[in-house]
Amino acid sequence: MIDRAFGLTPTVVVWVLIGLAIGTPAAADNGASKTVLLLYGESRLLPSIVVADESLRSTLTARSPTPIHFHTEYLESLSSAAGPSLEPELARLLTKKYARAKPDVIIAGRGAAHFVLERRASIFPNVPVVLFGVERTAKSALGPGAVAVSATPDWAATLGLALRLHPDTRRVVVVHGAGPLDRAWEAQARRNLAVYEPRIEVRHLAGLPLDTLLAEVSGLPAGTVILVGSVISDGIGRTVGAISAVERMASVSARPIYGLFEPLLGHGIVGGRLLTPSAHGVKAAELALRILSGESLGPGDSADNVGSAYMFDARQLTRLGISETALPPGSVVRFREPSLWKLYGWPLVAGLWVVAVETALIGGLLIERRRRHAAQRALAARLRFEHLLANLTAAFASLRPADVEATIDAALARVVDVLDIDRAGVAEFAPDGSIRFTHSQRRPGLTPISPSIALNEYPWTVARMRQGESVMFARVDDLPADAETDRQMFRRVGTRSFASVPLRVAGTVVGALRVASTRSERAWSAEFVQQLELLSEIFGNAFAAHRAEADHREQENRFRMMADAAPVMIWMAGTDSHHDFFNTRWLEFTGRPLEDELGIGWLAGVHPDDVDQCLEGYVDAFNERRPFRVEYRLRRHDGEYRSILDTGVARRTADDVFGGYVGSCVDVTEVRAAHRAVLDSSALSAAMLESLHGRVAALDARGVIVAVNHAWIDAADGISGLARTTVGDNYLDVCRSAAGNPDGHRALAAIEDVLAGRLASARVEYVCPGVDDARWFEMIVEPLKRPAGGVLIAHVEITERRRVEEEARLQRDELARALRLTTMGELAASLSHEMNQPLTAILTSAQAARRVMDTPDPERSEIIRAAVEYIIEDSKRAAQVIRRLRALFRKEHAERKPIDINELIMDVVALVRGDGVRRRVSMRFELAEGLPVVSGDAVQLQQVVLNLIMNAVEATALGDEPREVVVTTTQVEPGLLRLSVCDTGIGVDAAQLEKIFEPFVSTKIDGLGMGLSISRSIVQAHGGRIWATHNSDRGLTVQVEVPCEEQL
Amino acid sequence: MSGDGLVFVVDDDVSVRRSLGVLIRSVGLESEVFASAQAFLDHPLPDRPCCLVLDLRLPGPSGLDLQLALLKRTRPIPIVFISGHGDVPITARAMKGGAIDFLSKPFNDQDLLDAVQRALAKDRQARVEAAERAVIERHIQTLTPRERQVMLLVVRGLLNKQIAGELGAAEKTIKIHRGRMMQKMAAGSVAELVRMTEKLGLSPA
Repeated sequence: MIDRAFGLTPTVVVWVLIGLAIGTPAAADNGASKTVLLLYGESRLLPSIVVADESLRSTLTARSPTPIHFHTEYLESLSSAAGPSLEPELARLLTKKYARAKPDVIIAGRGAAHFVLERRASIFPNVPVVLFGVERTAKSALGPGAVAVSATPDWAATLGLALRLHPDTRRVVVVHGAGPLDRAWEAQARRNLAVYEPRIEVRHLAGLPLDTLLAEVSGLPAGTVILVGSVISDGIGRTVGAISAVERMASVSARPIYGLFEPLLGHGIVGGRLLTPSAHGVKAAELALRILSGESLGPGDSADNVGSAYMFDARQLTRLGISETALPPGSVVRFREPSLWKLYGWPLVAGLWVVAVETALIGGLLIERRRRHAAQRALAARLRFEHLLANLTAAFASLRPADVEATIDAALARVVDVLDIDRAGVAEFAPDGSIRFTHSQRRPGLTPISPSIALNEYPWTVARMRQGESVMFARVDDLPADAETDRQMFRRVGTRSFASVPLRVAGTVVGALRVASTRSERAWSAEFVQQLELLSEIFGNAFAAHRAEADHREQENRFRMMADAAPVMIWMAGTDSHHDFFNTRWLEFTGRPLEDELGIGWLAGVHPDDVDQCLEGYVDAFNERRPFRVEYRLRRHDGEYRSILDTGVARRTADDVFGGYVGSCVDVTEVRAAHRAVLDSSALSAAMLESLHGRVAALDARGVIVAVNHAWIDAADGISGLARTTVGDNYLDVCRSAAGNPDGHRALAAIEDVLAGRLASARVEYVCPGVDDARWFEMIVEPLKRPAGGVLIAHVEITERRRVEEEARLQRDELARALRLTTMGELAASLSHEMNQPLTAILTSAQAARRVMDTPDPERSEIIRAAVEYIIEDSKRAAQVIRRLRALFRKEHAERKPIDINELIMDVVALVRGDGVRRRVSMRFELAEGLPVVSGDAVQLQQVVLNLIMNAVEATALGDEPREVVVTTTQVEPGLLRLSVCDTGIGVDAAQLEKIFEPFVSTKIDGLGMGLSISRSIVQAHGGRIWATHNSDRGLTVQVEVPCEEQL
Repeated sequence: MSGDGLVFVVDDDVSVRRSLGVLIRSVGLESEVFASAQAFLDHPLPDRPCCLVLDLRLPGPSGLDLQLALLKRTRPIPIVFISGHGDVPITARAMKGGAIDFLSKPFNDQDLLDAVQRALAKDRQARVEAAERAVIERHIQTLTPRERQVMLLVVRGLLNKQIAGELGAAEKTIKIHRGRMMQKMAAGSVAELVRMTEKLGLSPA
């Protein structure tokens, strides 16, 4: 987590964060003393923390005008690599702990920085925070009122320095730990040191177990420099600390070690550009003091690159022969040895006397110099041989099988050199009687000899060699007469003197060690032969090892071929517990190259949560050499973790020597999943039963209760008048015994029906008289789908459900009724006017006719004729109103017919015109002629038009003069008609404009808000759209666009 | 039936309009129909007894608007309101404005014709009174200022002596003015003179 937040920047920073709150209550009120809370995410033993903490405290204590109380929290678990994060728990703990004793300022180290940044708002609101030891991040990420004090770990400067001081450096090994903070540093190092890669080899040893690391370091050749980064914990989760790591490395390697932290100085590093945590502590303390004094600090008060210097250990400089004059200017050199004089004083004076006396003695002895010279030379030669023997013995003793060949060659080269001969070689008898020179060395300038000798080339010599005899001659002529062939051969290859001693392996002669002189004839002294025999013995041993190695390798190869063909994943580990073989199937599974898997590399593929358990099982078994079986999740090449069952057994050689482990692995993911599913399902059934709120019981085929949940047991009120029951009771009997209880009988019937298979399931609702109110229950009977049969019954209270359902139904009915009434009311008002007019006219005309009927009025017949004409016309008009009304209410859903939109509008208007008149709103129609027909449902579209016009009339009636509604139809484009209803009414505000088409949104005092909503549904169903716009002066225009026929 | 009455009808609904026309004709009355208030206002009133059957709700100016406009004229015309939506506040306003009656559609023919007759009677009466007032006005126009002063004091019931005192003239002179005034006004007695001035609204007080 910290890596992600801070790890990608090259700067190690001492962050000082200051909260915005100046003079928080605690700071202002508590003038007598101040409280400082120190938070560290690292181990309290980490050197940099110890040093910084010390300088922080001492600086604060010394410089604060008021006494300071320190609280310190080590949140070490924050940096724990595995396991769930404890952050929330820690946060709760701290919140509780410091709720009352609010600190005046918080100072937090690198490991706690992220935690504090994330949580300070909730845990320590308004408390200024000082962070240090985190990598640099954007100031905005710190929040307001923050200050950063940063220092840069100068990887490049330190390595550059090392390269200057060790000009023959060809390789740098950079050591990192495995902790999150270590990883952050590693990332920095990789970026910063990449620039050196073309010049030297840069190798990062990151996250290794300490032992592995030390083994690596101990084998580093000359020309290597070690650079130590952050090593808080090692690859198997142990806390190490850079100091301990440096000390251990210095003890196993003479290579120069450079570091980046002042606390490492004196523990084995030469030096470097070192960060000084003490300076960071002081700087952090200074800023904290400014906060405590009431000063307001912000990100601008940041101080960068504080506290680093070139520092060196004088003892290391001396050891490596580095002159102090070579160091950068201003370097600090510590641990200088006192001068000899200061150290030893008088003993030195005495020593000088001894030297003087000795010098005199040597002068006297020079007389015998010549005589002793020859003896000394012999002695020197012997010493050199002894030295050679010791060296070879050591070299062969600690020989790794792979190095046998090279070591024999190197040894022979030294033999040539030390014994001052021209050729040396190891010969091996082949089964066909020939001899092969498996190893040969010669003085520079000589031609190589043939690697094998045919049977007929040196018959005499080979015969003797085969018999285990030594063969030697000072001159070729010394060979006996029957060795004529040999003589000629020796001569041909230029051999002048020759010596051969048998090579024995486990008592058997397998070959010979032979030497030859080509420059001069040489007499082989007895001592020389003895030396040769000694060497032969050593070579014989090496040879044996070589052979064993070859056999072994062949066996291994055979095994590996077999292993690669095997259908399971196979690995092998050496005696050191490190894996040295993985078969093809394993590599195919993980998708990683062999090199990555070797050693402990394979652990990287193991699921992080399983590493510990996997390692434990493996290591424990390994130490006891017993077979083991571990299961862990291993990452497959596609990234999926698969469950692997890994079975390992110890390998033993024929002579019962422990030879490591071999293991085979199978993917058991599916098996495990199936197993888990079985386990889960039974647990799930139980859990499900318990988690049900209802009272649940399972009955067997006879009706006997076999399982109940807690709710059933807790049901004290005895539902439905039935007695309390539990496992073992026959529920059917209980139902039967509830004499006179109709619910009991219904329940009985339902259960019996389901048990008998007559019903797939049953539900019985019943009511129980309660204290305040009746409570409703439902008994659900479901068959148990199992061979033994039975049912599951559940009593569930449904009082609330019934109440809600009832309310919803009432509301729905009410709404429907209101809607009906409103629509009917509006229509009725309009309709009564429409019908009243012709009725009035008919009545009036009829009365007029009756009035003149019996009078002698000369105009009588004319009046009657007119009246009757009018009556007929007005009756037709009334009938038409009725017809339109019926059309409006006819249920002809989704009936698509060609519709003349103008005609439809006028039909509707005929119904509502009177309404407009009544409300003193005039209507104007601008209907385009010859519009194409619209395919649609006439009744529905009439509803839309009716709605829009009535809305417009109502809105206009409430507004000022002139009150006019204009209905327009146009064809906007081929295939699209537009109907606009424009009013001069009161309009709606902008916010409402968007909403008026939603259900139950109305601008009318008594409106239901359904009209436009329904209209929109209808228009959309016709593939059109409807919208409203404000008019430029006042009122609204509602527009409807619907598709029409293309052609006119 | 008196054939001199003229009935105007204003209703925007053509059916109602023409059926009213035929009804009015059936009782021997003459009718003229209009579709809007404005059309009626633009039409000159004839010098004969007439009345108006007016629909309350009209496009444009309403029936009440028309009533208000007509009241401002020197010669008010009696109005019978008809409406499809009779409601009390509007009825009250209409009656307050001097409407003869207020009938809801559909109405009884006799009710409407009675109302029309009442309206015509009222208009006839108004026309008689107007003619009388015109004669008196004409007589008054012939009076001298002094005679007019004397007349107003006579109708207040003052004696010649008191009038003389009031006007600062000799009683004898007043007696002469009074005689000429009574002659010009064609008034046989003081009581008759008082009735005449009351008709003109010349209050004795």
